[in-house]
Amino acid sequence: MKTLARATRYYEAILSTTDDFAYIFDTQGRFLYANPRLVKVYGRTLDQVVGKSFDELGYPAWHAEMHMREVEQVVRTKHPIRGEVPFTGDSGIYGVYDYIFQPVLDAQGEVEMIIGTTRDVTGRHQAQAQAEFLAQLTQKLSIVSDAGELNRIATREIGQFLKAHRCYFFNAYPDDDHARTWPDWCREGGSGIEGIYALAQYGAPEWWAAVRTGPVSVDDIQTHALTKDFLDNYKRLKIAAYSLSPFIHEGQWKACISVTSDVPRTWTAEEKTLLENAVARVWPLLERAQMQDTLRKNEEALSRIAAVVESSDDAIVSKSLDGIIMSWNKGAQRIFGYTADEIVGKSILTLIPAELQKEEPIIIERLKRGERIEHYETVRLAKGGRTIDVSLTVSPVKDRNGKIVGASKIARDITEEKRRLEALRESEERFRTMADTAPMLIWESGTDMLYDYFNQTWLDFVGRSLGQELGHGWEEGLHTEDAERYLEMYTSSFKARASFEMEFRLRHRSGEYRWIMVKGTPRFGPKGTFQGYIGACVDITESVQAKQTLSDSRIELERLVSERTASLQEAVNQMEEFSYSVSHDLRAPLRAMQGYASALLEDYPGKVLDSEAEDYLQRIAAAGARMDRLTRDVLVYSRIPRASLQLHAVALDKLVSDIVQQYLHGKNKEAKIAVEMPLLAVTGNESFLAQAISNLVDNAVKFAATDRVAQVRIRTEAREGQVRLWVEDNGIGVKPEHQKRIWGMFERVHPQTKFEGTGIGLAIVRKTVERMNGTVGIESDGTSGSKFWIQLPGMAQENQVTYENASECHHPVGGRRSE
Amino acid sequence: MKMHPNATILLVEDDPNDVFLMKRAMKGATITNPLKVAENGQEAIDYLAGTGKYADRTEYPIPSLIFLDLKLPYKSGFEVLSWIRGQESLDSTLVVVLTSSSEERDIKETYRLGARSFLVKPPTPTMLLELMVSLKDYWMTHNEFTAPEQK
Repeated sequence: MKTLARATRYYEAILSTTDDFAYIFDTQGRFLYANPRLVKVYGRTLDQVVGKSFDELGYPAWHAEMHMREVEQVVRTKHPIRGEVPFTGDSGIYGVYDYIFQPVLDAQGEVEMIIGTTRDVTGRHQAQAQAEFLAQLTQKLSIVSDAGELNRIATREIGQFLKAHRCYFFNAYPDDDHARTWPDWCREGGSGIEGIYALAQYGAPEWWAAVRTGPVSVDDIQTHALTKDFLDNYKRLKIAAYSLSPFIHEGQWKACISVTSDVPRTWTAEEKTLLENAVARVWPLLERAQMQDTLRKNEEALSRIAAVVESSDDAIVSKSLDGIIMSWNKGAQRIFGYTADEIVGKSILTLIPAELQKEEPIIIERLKRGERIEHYETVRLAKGGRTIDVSLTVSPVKDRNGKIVGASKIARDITEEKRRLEALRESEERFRTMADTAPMLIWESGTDMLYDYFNQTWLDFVGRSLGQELGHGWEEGLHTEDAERYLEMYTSSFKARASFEMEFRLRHRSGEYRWIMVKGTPRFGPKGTFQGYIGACVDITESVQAKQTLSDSRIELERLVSERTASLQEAVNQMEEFSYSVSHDLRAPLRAMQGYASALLEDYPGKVLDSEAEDYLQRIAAAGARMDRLTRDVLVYSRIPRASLQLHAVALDKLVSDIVQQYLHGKNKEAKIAVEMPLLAVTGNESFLAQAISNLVDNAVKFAATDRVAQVRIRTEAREGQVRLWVEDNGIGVKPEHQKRIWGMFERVHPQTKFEGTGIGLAIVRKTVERMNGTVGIESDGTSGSKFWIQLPGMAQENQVTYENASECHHPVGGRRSE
Repeated sequence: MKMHPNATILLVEDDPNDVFLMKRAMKGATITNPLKVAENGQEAIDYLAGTGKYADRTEYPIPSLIFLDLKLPYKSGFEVLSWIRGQESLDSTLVVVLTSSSEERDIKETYRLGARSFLVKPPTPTMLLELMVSLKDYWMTHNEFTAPEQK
């Protein structure tokens, strides 16, 4: 009995202390026994349990059904059944149970009852699940190399697995009291927690001290001692509970994984373990990925820099502090001629000409002080000894700790540039010299229209300094009357970029204003860019004065000419007066002479006067008459050049007939005058023509031959646009040797006793015809008669009137034959 | 109405020789009209205006015909002509310019100033006589005169 009792006690002890469930039920599935643990879970007493089926004990239908089937199976097969079943117990915790239904056989070998044991394998399950999860996670992460991607996947997986609100990593800098969080995964999507946080704002120092050593968790921030003072900060991040697991490396707290819940939550040991494992596994991956990222970026940056260095035209050389060349780019090879192999490792002094080698220590000293030397122009040696003009920029190279370990030199070959600058300078020099020695005044202005250069000649001229003239200073010397005009021209030309030329007055240093002629031309650079203007000026005062003098001279000349003309006119007028007087005053006495002589002859015929006295009186009368005729003819002749002549169409028909009529009517001489009609019309002056023709007719009759009746024939003929009027007689003719003379003044071939005449008649004919732009002539053999002719322009156009005036009398109008 | 045989003829002439020749010619042409002589331009104007001694119109009647020389002392023939033109009372008086000059300007001026005739003094007495004969014929016989107003 004691043994049984002891055994029972042992069994009871086991059954009541074990965490497992132990129970017995009959073949109908009704409980015969349940150990205290199970009973507790049911929330009942043993009595309440015994005799109840699964249904009655509150198992879900499917669960109960399942167990009933299993019971039946055990009864039938007499074999045990093992199974696993998930459940949610009263405390709401999810778990997994492992159960065995073991049959107990009676003496007949039939199942009498079923013993069951159930073990909570949630933990193991969870651990398994965790292990699986971690394995999967690791696998997923292994193919990802990008840190960001790694982070995203890890936080999402972990967060989802743990059914958290958020999951994130952060770098911890405990010495610096801050943490830098990586982008978080959030159940609602998005991330909101990335940033830098001061640790002190989220927990008491003890809290963070704890984290340093191991995982910590807060089930409810409001109640946790070390966090409750920082509620606001957590609330802002919607954190009601969280669990952290640190990553500690060599005693240093490096990073952390954190999962948070937006409602208070109890974190299980398994969950904490998961976090521990997760951070242990994932963090290194993240770190490595990050490092690789950085490395890659560095590498990329490095290769970019290397490319820049290599492709640079400039020589980029690095050297150690003792002047050994450490690196040598292509540019350096191009400029100096050495390849990298030839020169790396050698001293930099190889490149420095002997006389400049003392520069190097100075450079090194400055470098050591951390100074940077920029655009230092000097000379270096290329391979082969050729010198190169270079511009150096030297910078110190520091290591990670900031210590100067060497120098980087950039050398630019400025030989070409120097040459160009030199050429430019020389050109400038030449220009300046030329500009300053040129006798012209030269200025330049820029694109801003301000004057920026004046040559020495200009400055000497105005007697001012360059400073005074620059900008718009020189305009003070512009004459006020010319200023506006000049500025207008300058401005408008400038806008149009056109050249201009103008004259203005500029004040000379003597104070006198002198006339300047300026030629302004736009200037363009080598690429055709507009650069401003250049102006060249010349002092044209003399020229202006000369012009003025010339103008004055011309005016003077004109005045003199007018005076001369006036004098001439005066002389002509005097002539007119003279002839006027002659007509009146000379002829009056002649009239008197003749009158009294006639009176004597008439009143005293025969008786008182004897024949001789009569003869004397006759001679007096005759002389008087002759004198009168002479005077008259002279008057006529003198009037010819003076008269203003109107030339017009003259119908010779009428004129000649009138003259002939009058002649025949007046003279009592027997003469036959035949006029051959029609006579062509001419261009001439009627009264002059009348005079000329009268004289010719007179002569034709007068110089008749004694042995025949005077016969005169008058006709015209056309001659190439001109008309020749013939007056032909059968008189004594004119001997060829006299033919020239007869046209002269007072020329007489025959003695006066033979033929009456003043000797002026033909001169008058000639003069009048010449004034009418005609010509005269004679044809005669000297015995059988004379053929006098006058030739005049025919009637070119109807009603054309041309005018000559007195002043032209000495300058015949073209087309006339001179004497 | 013809020129009355008693109508006065005024001869304005400064050259006594020409006066002698005119008288002679007129006699030769049997022009019997009373002839008065003024020796210069001023005298002529005085006569015509009736100033001084010429106020006596019985002694110095207004002429119907004036022979006027151009070249006169004191006042020229042109001035006399001008003056005459301004006198309404002399509108009907004939003025014949008888002068040595045949200058065209004189001719124009003469006609412009209202003289009816411009005659150049012929150089010989014979021609002068002929001239007078023609004149007598023309004016005394054929032409119509209006009687001069007697002041």
